[in-house]
Amino acid sequence: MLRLSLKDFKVGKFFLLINIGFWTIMSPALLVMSVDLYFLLITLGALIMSMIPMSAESRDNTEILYISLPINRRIIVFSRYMSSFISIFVTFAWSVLWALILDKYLPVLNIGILHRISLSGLLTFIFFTVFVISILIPIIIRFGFMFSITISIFVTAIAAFGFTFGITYLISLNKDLFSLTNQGENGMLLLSIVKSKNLIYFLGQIMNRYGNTISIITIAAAMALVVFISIKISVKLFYRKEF
Amino acid sequence: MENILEIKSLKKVYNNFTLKDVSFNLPYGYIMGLIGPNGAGKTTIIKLIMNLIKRNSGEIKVFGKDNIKSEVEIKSKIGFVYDIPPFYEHLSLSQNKAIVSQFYSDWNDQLFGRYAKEFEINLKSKFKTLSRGMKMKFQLALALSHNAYFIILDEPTSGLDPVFRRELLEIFSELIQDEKKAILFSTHITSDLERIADFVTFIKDGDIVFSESKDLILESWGIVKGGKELLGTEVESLFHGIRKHEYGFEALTPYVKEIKQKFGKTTVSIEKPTLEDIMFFMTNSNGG
Repeated sequence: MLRLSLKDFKVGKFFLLINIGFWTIMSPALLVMSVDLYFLLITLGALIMSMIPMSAESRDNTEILYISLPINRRIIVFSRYMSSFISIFVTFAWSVLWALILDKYLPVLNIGILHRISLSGLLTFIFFTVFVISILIPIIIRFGFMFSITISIFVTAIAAFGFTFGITYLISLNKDLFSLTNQGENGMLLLSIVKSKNLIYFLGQIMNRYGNTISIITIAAAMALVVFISIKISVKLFYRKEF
Repeated sequence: MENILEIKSLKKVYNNFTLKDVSFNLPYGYIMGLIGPNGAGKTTIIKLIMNLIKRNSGEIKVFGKDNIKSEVEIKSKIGFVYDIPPFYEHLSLSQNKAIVSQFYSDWNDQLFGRYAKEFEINLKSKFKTLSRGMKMKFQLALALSHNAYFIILDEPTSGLDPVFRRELLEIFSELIQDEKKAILFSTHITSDLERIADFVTFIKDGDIVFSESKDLILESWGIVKGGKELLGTEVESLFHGIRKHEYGFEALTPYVKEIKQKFGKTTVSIEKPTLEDIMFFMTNSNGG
């Protein structure tokens, strides 16, 4: 399985280097950017990175190649998850590690990542990325890469605008909701989330209440459950798939 | 004769096409050609053998084992060549080779190197820069380098120059000499089959028209030419793909003896057909 996952890095090594290079250059952006926004961008980078081998597979029709080789189909599916998760891990690990290196050896930049980053924040973004990948892979297996990505972007856009519109509309109906959402009177929900770091606020509160160990175990268990269900569905779809 | 491939009552239904009740066998040590017009079902059969698509019913046994239950084991002993080569376009040939070779326990790097040299393949070239012929050669080198016992090829000779085609056919002939291997390939180039195939399976509209020894087919079938006045419902039922023209008719028949007895040598002329003739007449036939 590892061999099959590693071939994804051979296939996408150029983009992996670009991704790592990009975050190497972008780390000082933490000076002017909230940690949330920074990690949101890293999340996008990690997602794109994990999609590269699948897009190459779709473009060159290499799925047929793997199906024709003496490899168990279950292993092909597992390896797809594995390479995606390795991509996510590498992207996050390097972006944090590099910021720490800059902190230590170039204190003049004053990035101060250790003071600004929280475990809950990091876990939230990793969990979010894993969650998105777990949703996307079965869809890609079922409907193909191009169709799935197009539909996903469309659905995400509709969901994001729908969510923003819905909340803003509710707030306009009931002024009391302002105090609940703490969004101020402008109703710019997404911008407020980014600015006030509310995206990780909720998880941070939970971690404060239950302690890091329980929270991390809970998040890890939730992540594992999502991945397990996703793999189960993907394996089933992959066995049924015709090439 | 022990069979390397056994297909029994194979059926695959699509919305606009059905592969109907296909049955044929390929013994060890022989080469079988799959011929038929475009859309006849040749690639569908190859895909079903490789388990790329799911059969609706029937049975496929490769090396005596079910091709789905023993998929991994069977595929480790199969060398495949597809009509559209499924390799990473942006990677070099050696990178593509590295991806494939690691999954075969019997991979022979020296043998691959030998074929690469023989086929004049530059392993540093990117796959996307290759011509169709070179892509095919690369696929062939891969298929022949892991000591496969069963080689399956979908249109392997299309896009290849005549000189290399002939060399390739010689390689195929050499491969099966030990009688432990077999080759199944689909093609439109019937002259290739005439040169090396032992068996020919003709498919039309998802149906097997015949699956027999090539020599038997070429010996027993004939092209009959004669005057139009000879034709009638009873006579026409003996022919395939009757072509009527100003001076008479020509048609294909598997009943050469009967025709000779019925008309004698003077009223009709009977010629030996090529596989291309058979394919042509059968494709234009509505039964008979």
